[in-house]
Amino acid sequence: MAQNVFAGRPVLVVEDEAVIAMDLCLTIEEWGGQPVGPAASVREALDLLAQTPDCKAAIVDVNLPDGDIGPVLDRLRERSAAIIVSTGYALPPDVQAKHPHTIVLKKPVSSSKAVEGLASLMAGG
Amino acid sequence: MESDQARASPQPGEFMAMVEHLPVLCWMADPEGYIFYYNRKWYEYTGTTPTQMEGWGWQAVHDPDELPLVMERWRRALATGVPFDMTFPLRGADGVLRPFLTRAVPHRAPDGSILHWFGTNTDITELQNAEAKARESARTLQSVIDEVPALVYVKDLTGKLKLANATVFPLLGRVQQETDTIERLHWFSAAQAKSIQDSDRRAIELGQTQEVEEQAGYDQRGPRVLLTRKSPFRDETGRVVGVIGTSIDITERKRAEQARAESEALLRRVLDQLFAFVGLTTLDGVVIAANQAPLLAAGLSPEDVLGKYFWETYWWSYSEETQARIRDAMLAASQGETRRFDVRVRISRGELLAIDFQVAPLRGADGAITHLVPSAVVIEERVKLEQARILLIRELHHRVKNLFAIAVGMVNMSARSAKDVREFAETLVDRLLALARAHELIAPSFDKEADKTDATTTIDRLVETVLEPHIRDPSQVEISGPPLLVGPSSITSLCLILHELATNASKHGALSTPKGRVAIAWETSEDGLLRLTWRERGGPAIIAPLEKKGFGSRLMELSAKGQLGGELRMDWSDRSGLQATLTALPDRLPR
Repeated sequence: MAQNVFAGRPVLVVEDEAVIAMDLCLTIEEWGGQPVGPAASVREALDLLAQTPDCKAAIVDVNLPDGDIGPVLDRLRERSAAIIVSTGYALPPDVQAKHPHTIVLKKPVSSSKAVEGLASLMAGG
Repeated sequence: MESDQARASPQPGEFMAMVEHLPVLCWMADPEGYIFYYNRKWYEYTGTTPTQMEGWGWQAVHDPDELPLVMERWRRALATGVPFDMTFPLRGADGVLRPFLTRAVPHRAPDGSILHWFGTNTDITELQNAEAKARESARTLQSVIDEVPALVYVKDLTGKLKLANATVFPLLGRVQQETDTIERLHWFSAAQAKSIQDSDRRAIELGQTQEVEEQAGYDQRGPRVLLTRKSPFRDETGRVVGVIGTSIDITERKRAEQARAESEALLRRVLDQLFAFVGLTTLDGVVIAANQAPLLAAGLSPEDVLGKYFWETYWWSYSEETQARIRDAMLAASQGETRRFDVRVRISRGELLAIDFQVAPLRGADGAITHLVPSAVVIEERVKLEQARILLIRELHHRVKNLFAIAVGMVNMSARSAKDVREFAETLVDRLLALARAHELIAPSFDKEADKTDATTTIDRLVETVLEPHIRDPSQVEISGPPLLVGPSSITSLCLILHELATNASKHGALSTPKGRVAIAWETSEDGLLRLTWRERGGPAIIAPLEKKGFGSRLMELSAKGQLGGELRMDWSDRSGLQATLTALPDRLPR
């Protein structure tokens, strides 16, 4: 039932830890979504978003080799995307202030929990 | 002219008148001692008549006790013709015996024979009184100076003792007055003697009183010390003829002073060497004393803090809030309450140092608070260490979470690709163990420098560690490359890539046969890019490349891309063995 929410829609994955990124991508596939990425950096994530205008869902990490996720969240908000943040820390205060209602899951988190969370956001929105 | 001569030479009658009126008693005797003439003064003094005195009658006015000696001496003079000279008493008309100095000389003829004896008796009562007075006054003076609790002495220009009081002699031992110079005595060292002579000379040459501390002799505990005043000693004409000295023995006082100074100096050194602060202030908080370490640390001199309110010194000048806190603490201490807290103090170059500060009241014997004692020990290292521990714990906490996240991912991934539960378990355990070993390499050390939480290892150690479970014979593997640093973020990716390559090699490639070889080499290009090559030789001939979309190769690709910012290329074209090439961005490896 929940798989219908995705129905082949693109979902951006931003995660620089390869195992976790792969796990997320495969899980999204299993739920019927189309993983975009995984992106391992802010730069790459922004490029992928630019190439995929219809991508309105994302599961993202916060700390990336070239900075924090802030700019990616800004871009996602512009297109009213459903977002799940998965991090070992927390959102930096300034990012948190700009995106107060973002759902943040604390690592370690099971990939199916993250995808499920995203699914309910998409269903709700 | 004639009349002049007559006036110059007195007439016999005039001589007679002179003798009769001389203020001394005069007489004349024949060579046998028979006195045939006395002048008027004689009769006046003795109250006698010529008849009573003539010849040997004079014995009547003598002291009977003295007379035999007088007779003996007078007869000897008459017998030998040697002038008579003697002092004896003569009784006056008033019955009083008075001392007379009596002299008699013979009057000789040209042939040497004695014609007469001329004698005089001079009353020396006054002279004897004066002498007695002088003796008495000298004796009084001596007893006075003997009582003075100081050394008193007079030396002549050559340094010989002319006079000294009794106090001098115990110090000088067996010295004999006027026979030796003090300095030549054997219990004075040469240096002591020279110093004493020098100060004597200064007093004499400058004609001024000198005050000196001088060493004189030794006892069991060392040299004795005198505090001495030396003044020039002048005769009636004002000429300097010696030196008058007065000395007080201050040996014990000096020793007590020295002992106190030494113990104070020792305490001072102990305080100064502490890298701790100890100070003393008035009840109002004005600094009276501070030890050296905090002054040195702040580049201050004592004058910079002494006399100032403690909270207004440089040490607290970085913050009004801190100044107020110190002032409040000192106020509390002046009311009997000890205050203690951690605070930061300003030292040189504006640096701030964490200290454990205390200010306590100092009470006098009667229990009243007299001073305040501010003190502090530096706890900067402790604070740094605590901060480093917190960072370390956070870092470890994060790393554990991250590893669990990776482990969760691995479980999911291994579950997806495994053919059965057994294979699932085997591959998962191998991957987890590889990760565990890799992370052991970068376990931060607790006893190393406090702020170094980012422990690193080198790439060669990582390669050896990951490959170790996969090789039976160390000669199968050849490793070469510089010992580049590998940090906690990149180590997971590198480890997984190496582990997957090694797993493949031991299942299907060069490490599946004893003859197979793997060469792993790395280098950094000029722009810092890492290039690592994995070259297999001597294994089974390659029949087909590894499934491209298999979990292992996909994981390797993503690992190369993600944390390392590079890529992994697998080349199966050479049938003698796989060649894999990994690149990584310059800054990624040590992260």
